[in-house]
Amino acid sequence: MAENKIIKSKFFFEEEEIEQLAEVSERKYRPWPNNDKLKVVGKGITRLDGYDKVSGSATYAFDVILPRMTFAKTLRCPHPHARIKSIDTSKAEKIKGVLGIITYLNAPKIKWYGNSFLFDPHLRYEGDEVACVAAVSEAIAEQALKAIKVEYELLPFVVDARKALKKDAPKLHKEGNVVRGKPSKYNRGDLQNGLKEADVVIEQTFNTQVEIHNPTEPHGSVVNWNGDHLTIWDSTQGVFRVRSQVAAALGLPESNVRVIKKYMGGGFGSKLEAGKYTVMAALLAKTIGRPVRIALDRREMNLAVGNRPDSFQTLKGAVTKDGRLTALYLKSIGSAGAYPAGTGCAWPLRSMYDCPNVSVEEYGVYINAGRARAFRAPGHVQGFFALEQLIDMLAEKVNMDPLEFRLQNYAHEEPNWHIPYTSKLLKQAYLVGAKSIGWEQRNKVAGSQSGPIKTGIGMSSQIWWGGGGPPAYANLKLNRDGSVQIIAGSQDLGTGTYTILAQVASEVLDIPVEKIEVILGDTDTAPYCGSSGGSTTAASVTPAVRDAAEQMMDKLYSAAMAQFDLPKNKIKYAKGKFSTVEPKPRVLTIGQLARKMGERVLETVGRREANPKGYAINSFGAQFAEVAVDTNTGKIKVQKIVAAYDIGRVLNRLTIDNQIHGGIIQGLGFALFEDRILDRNTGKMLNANFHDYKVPTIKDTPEIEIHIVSETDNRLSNTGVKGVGEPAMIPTPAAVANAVYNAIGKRITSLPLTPDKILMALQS
Amino acid sequence: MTQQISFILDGRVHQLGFEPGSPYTPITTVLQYLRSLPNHKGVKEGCAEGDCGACTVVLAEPSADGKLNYKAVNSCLLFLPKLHGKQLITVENLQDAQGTLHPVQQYVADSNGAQCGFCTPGIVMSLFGHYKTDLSAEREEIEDTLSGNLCRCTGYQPIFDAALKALDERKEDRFSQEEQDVAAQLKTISQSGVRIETTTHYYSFPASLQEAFTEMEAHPGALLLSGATDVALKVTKQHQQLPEIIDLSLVPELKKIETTGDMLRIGGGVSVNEVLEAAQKPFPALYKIAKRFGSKQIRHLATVGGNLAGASPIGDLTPVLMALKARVRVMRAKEQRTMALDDFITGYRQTALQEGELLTHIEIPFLSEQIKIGAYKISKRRDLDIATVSAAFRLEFGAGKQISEANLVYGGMAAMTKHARQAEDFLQGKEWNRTHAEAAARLIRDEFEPISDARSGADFRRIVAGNLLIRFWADDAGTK
Repeated sequence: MAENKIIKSKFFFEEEEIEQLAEVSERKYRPWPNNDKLKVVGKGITRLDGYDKVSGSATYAFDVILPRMTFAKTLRCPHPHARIKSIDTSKAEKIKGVLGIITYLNAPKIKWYGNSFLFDPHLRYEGDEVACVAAVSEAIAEQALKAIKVEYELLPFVVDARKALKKDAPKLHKEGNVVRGKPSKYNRGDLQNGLKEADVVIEQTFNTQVEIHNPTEPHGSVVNWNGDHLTIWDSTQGVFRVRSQVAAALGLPESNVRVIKKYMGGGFGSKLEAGKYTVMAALLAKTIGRPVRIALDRREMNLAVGNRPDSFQTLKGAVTKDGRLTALYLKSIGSAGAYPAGTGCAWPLRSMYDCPNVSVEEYGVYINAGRARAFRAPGHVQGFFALEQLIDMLAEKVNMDPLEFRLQNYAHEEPNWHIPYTSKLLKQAYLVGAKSIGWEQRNKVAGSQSGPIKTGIGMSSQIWWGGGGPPAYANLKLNRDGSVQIIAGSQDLGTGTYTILAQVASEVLDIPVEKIEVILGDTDTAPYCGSSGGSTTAASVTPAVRDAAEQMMDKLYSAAMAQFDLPKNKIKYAKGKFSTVEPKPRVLTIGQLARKMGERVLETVGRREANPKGYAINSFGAQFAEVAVDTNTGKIKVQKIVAAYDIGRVLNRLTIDNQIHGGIIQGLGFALFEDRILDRNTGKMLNANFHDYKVPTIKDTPEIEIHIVSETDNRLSNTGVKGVGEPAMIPTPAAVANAVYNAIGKRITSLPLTPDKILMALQS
Repeated sequence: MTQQISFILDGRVHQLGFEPGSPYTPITTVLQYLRSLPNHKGVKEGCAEGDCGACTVVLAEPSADGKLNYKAVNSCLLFLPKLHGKQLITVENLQDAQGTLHPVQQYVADSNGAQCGFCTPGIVMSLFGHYKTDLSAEREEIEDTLSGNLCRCTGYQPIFDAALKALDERKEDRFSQEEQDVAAQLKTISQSGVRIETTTHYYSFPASLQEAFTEMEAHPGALLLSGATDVALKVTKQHQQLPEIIDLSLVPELKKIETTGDMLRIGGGVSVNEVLEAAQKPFPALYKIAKRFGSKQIRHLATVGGNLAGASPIGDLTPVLMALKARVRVMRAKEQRTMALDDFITGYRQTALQEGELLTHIEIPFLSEQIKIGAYKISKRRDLDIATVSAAFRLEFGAGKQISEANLVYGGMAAMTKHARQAEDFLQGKEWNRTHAEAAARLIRDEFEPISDARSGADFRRIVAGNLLIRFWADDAGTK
């Protein structure tokens, strides 16, 4: 039997099911036992890069310095919609220290975002790129930006998706303001029948706001040409994706482009694609013959590198009086921003519950604002905010406990395709979470407490994919001193990839994690892995590492058998040593064994195996929130969040807790205050900085309790791991909203849940 | 006066002269300076406006007792000359020559307190600043220390755990060993003023009030600053050049806090952090509001004089100081006058300060037992946020149960900090009970015409303004 094979691989990455050919490993390994029987995997090992990070020695793209390096800054359109009438850079060019300026007049016409260009005289949002300047210092580059004279023809603009759908709305693109020219639709069963069958039908609208990723490290690149070879240090979630995009943009063979990323300061989806800034820097670097560093500032981060699109959702839910869902309907409108982007939020409604009749109609809409990008569980955070409130409303109408109602409509098979799950322990998550929060202590009648401060408890479910899949590869090298390197074209966004990959190899090779060096994020040296998004990194890459490590063990066994001249069953292996007692006691460390090999480095190539056929792969979980609402001021204090997850195998208890904490806090930011505010009259963003765009601080941190109800998912892969990055955030806003309702008896249907909305609802 | 600044970094005294050709100017920020050096890349830029804390460094300056005071500050808000006479400590300086981590670093690593790690150096420095003070290791104090450091990945719990352990086990570190030497070295650095003149900039540190007035006369167009937390944004965000600056932060007369008989007198250059320490016992309401002023890094720099003279309608300290009936002393070269803070603020970002005058002191009369004070701040986020609405209340009682005088002062409700006069009049002579509080609250809702803006709607402001008075009554009555 061949050990590797090329198959058609299909799995969900963010909200898209991608299909590609992939070479997979056909080797079958005995599933690992539960974590309590494992030595390294599942343990709370502190991250291997901790020292670099606390000492300040970790180098980010932002920190790379090269000899003769120059600095680039971007001139961005100050208007929401305009056309460049004329542009005059002559004054800026004369400033001492200015080395190069590119605009649409002198830059090559490079296609970007579909039908527009890297530099396009038609500017569609406040922040669109107008010019880029390279200078000997950032300060001089800034000065030069001020000296560039641009004459704009101002065009009518629209910054509200609902208005953009109107006939007389200003058009951003030839095709009109609906992305792809039409809504995306989904139907199963018969909606009308489902509505007729029901005893109760509720229709409700929900709105969610635009959220900005705002990772702490700004987007940025350092680029350097060596002849016709380009090296890019980039803060990116996908080194290979950046390489392909930049090579295509510049007309270079991919073999001439090297993308490097070691440490990065978070991405949350905003760094999943190559930035215009990287290509602009490369063009400038080529012209001036010097390396260029380009780093965005916080304002640019807020305007121009993505966001979670808003949503205007109308839902209908139909239910029989004994609490059986008969129909769900969603019409949603979401702002793609100025260029094509996904805005859908229907997956929760399609896949969470067992409901036979579902109908969905979704509009992605162009508006004159920064373009959306995937943001931590795209579609799901906003979708669940609406769906899980609707579920609570339906439960209340038929006098059922909301948890009971969810169990009653539990999907025992995947409702879109009617196939089984590789594993589903959501019920266990519900029960553990409910017990932990004290579910029975919730107000039986919402808002019934007396006194100005009212408390409440609410919950939300979650579903995500995160099973990953091939292609993903890892090379494992064993050196003559017994030290090990794992090299993979994946990346560590801060999530702990370095640490978990070392743990997996350590488990198989039975050597300490400290002996294992993990090298990621270099397209010239590492085999391919996909971008780090969709919560797929751990699920895709760890099985490839196990495959590589198991092959290395086979190789070492063969070597030991040759060296000892004994069959395998006469040789033992533990803690990095082969031993035998026949004919006399002998011990060989793997280093000693490696030194006996003619080759100085032993190498294996691990491949992710295929996902199982005929199964749906999903992770599940629930969050429970306890809130206190001050009815004098409208302030919500989230006191406690309980998170219970079915996430396959835990690789590292510390990193998974980190991820879940971080997701919850980001969810709280979205639930309570994060909000891109556009001025309707000027089309400009009013809070494009950390002063006015609020993200949570340590004082917003509630008590958090985490339960993992799964041991592993052995049907999925040889490590049984699913990703947790996105699931961690999905249910938080919905759980908080339901808890607020339980506290005050008023349903807040639009995010964020600000004090003024609470106070106004209480007044009504 | 010397022409150059001197400070300690990396264990040695650095001198910077801003000569022609120097890559630095007097308005180069410490963050820009550090990032231009090859060995301080751990200092990160996350926002360049004091809102994320990624660039936090610690400044040590000699105290009266020959030791050092350590303060975490945002290096992005600090102009280079402000390093004069201080030790600058960055994340790179914490580990020893063998690479052994400082306890705050070790515990952050051990608790997995770093995820992506970009904010980590700033967090480590905030914790180090706390480690080097005698502040407690209570939850509230730790949260206070870290509320100026944004982390987008970890969700803070592991950082808090690390802080708790490190601060709980505080002991002498290598900085304690060298403390006296450094303090002595810093003392040798010129205590007379500094005056930097380049082809583009003038930046002076007068060393006395007298010198300050002389400077102001000689440079009438110069920008006066002290903490410069607002002024720095003019450079980092608006790219202004600020050709002439007079920096008052080394004027000793403005740095004093004195108790004189029946009042607390605070110099205009006293930092908000020192104000809150001094206010804790006599003025708990001021303490409470000052605690929610910016972040600890900002409070270490920002001054009470700067906050009042800025006359922002949402300035944090103004309402509570008005309720405390604070008086303001202003001086020019040979004359001085005092006035009620109420009279000092004259309009939107306008004060009674005249050309050549300086706000030198704030005087807060101590309270008698017949006075009740309360202060509240409503903001979107709990901390490091400016107020949507702020309120401060003062109720004076005569011999009986009746209110003899009411002061109800609001920020965020009008173009300037303003009294709710109708409600004040209504309460006068009334008993302080729920009915009257509610009636006064209704008046408050009607007498203001606040604006709707990105922070909240006008209706919300009106309702919450009234509710805060009810909350004051409830807090006072001990009920919730």
